Amino acid sequence: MGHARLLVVGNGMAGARVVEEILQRGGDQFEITMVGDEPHGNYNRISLSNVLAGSEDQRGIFLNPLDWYEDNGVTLHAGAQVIGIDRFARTVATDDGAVLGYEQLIIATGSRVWLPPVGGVWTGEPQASSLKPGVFGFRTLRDCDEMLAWAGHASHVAVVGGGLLGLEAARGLLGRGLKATVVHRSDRLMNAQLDHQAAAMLQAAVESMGIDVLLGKSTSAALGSERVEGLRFADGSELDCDMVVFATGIRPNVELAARAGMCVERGIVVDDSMRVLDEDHVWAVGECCQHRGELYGLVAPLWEQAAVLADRITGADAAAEYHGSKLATKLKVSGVELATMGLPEPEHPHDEVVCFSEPSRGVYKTVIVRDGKLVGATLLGDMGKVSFLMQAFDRGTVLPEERVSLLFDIGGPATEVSVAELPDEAQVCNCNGVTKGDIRSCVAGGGRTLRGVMAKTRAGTGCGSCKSQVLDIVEWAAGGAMEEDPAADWYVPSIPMPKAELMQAAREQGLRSVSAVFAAFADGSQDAKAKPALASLLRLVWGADYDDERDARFINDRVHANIQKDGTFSVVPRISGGVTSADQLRKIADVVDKHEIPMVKITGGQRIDLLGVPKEHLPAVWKDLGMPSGYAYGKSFRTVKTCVGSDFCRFGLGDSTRLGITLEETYKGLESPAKLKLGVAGCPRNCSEAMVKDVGFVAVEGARWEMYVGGAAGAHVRRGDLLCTLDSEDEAMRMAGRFMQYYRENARWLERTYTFMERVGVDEVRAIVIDDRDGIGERLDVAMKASIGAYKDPWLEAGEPATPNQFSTEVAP
Amino acid sequence: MLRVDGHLVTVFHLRDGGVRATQPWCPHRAGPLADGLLDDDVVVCPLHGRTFSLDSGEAGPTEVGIATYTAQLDGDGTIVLTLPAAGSLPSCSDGVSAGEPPGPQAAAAPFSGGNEHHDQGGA
Repeated sequence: MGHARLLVVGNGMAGARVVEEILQRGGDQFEITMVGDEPHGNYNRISLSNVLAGSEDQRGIFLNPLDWYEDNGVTLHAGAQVIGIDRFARTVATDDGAVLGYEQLIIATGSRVWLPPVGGVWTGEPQASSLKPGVFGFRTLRDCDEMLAWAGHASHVAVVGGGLLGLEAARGLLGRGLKATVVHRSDRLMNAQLDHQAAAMLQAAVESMGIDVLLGKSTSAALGSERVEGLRFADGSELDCDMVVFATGIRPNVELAARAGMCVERGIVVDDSMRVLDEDHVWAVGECCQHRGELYGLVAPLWEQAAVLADRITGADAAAEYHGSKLATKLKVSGVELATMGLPEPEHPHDEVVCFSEPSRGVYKTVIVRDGKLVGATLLGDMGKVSFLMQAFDRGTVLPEERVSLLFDIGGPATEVSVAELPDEAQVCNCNGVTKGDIRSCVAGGGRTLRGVMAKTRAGTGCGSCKSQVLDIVEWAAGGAMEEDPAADWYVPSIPMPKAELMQAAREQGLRSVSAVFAAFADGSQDAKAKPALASLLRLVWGADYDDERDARFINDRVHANIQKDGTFSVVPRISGGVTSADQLRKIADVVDKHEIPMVKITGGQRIDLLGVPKEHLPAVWKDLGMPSGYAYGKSFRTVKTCVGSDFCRFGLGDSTRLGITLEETYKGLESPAKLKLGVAGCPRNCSEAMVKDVGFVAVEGARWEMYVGGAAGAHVRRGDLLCTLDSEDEAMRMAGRFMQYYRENARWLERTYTFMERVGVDEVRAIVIDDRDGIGERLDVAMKASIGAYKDPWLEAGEPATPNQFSTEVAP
Repeated sequence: MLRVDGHLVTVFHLRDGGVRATQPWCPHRAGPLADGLLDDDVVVCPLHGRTFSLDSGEAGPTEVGIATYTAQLDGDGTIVLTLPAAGSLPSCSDGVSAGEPPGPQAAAAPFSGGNEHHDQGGA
């Protein structure tokens, strides 16, 4: 028997998944062709919210890159659209003129954004219309790209639709600096999944992030002629905004099947074998199909359907049946934890409801039990029992008599036991349908690293929320034989050595330049992205003897200023400890006038930022300022924030300004794995926020200084670890230097002190830096002294550029 | 970056002495590629780290690529660029890779100095 031709229409998650399932079952009886209208490989649509929020890179969300198709012998017609199916001749026609024959046809056309009938959304003629500039549907990678581009110069987005996707879109755009308003028709957010009380608490959580919520608003028109300028609602009120995103639901793409004469209701109707009703050779899967009256818009049902379809079509299990899916979702909005499954509210009088509510902490949990089985649950603000409930819900297991243990772990030991006790069939990764048994057998088959197991089983590669549980299971299954992923410790991905080893090798072999390192350890093959990391390491090893190849520097370090979104630069002179003078301010004011600097900003580090300086003007600006660089652009020691201290403050216990100035004057510009921001507070009122700095000192009674390290108050917020209490300013100076040197030598590239402290541990750092357990204290002090000695104000290059075109943008041919 | 017959082109000097030429702006947010980090194969935009092949202009799987042009160094250190016909150079908004320039025309760009220090920041 020759190969039967299998044609798959649609190359989204459903189409690609079903082909994968078929290939897994052998699938060599088929010659597989896929037709998809998106011009690239298949990607994880669930992660688009993360891409929008910037927490995930576009590249990271591709499930099947183009080589995957080639490697598996699948022919892909990307960028082509199927325009007709002839189910009697068994052919399909595409818009590029091709006619493809098939023995088996799978329709996986998915769905598209549904826009409510709202005036003013479209522009142009009805036949060739497009969305009004500024109006978006949120569905594809392309939508995501276009939204981000528009968001770059928009200030207020209205998201129509208060469901899962709408909230994720609003949070993502809020994080991109827009004001965000969610407009919802219902009287509560996520009305399909939540009861009133949960919805009210979710709303409070969302509003506390800064998202406005308008409920009971039916959108009637998008305003603005050239571009969107606002929305009008059915009640006559209006909202000003310069961007609108519709997240109002999806509609299955069924037109193709309907035109071909197949049975179509809301979706393409399939039976329990996933075959289209009354068709012998046509199947449908995913969001385009309707099964037992249900349409699904989530990913888990799609995986289950794909498995049944593959069993049937390959004959691997000719009796496989799909009986519908139970729905569970998690909201991917950073700062809000929410999981729902099944029913939002009881339906029958005998449904049993167990509920816990603690509004002040934003915690709300409810479970609905019918005949001893879990039929619905909502967890908001506390995910403690989520895996247990998901299992119970999916598998319909019998629940414990003591219902409160559905909501809380009472007294018993927690997670480790539960990993071991989970049944093998328990689904761990709900995005990719990976069970504990899959992970266990992958480990048994030799998988010993988290990354390896994730790549093989795909567990944790969807929304990522199960990653920690996957790690737990890998650890448990490996029974202590888990291997560290060696690459995880490499300093840069292109050279297989951890930092300490690379430093030693560079020292022993006398490698003083980045190109020499590539020549020695990477066959001379350079890696652009690794250059700044290597430059930093070599400068640490060699100090003044480092062979400074300028192409290894990031642009900021080439021109000693911070590049801005429009390609201009920001100039921040050093104002040690934030203490300035009339003279300095006058000079800065003159420079601003003379160079017509568009923005002058007081920074969070108590300095003055001159923004919008073209590269060509940098040398002149520096010369006219006559002040040294504040290093506000480098991976380096940046600034010391101080409070007024004992000079004027009536509470001050220690001279915080003097210590701050001495710190900054001593350690200025110091090369470091990531930026270092310091703070000194003159009393425990902590006005200069020293407890959330990379290194912070707080004066306490008795002329002593508490030293905090690893604090953060940026993207990450962490209170610093109290490392020790010191008796004098001299001691504070020395220990700051010793800690920073230890950090410089041991931290990974771009690893801030707050991650470094969590990785190494405060006890270990204290033992080495303060108690000198390993006897390296003196060496650290000497190394730090050498680095300080190598300091040279980079702004002196204004007079003698390091390279002829250092400060030019355009050069004459 | 240099201006040739009214077109802006960025010319990169590689460590191995070779030269490459591309459109000057990143198609993402118009970052100046001349300010990017460089190796033998790719240039990395300084604003958000998008990475482009210096030869083909290709970017990541979902990203728009950039136009690249043929650039050669002749014996006396002159850079010879082959650019598409006037008016057809892509702007930063439609940065498709121009593999086959329609109607080639040679533009001679004499180049002086700057080779020994590998400064990709200009020239």
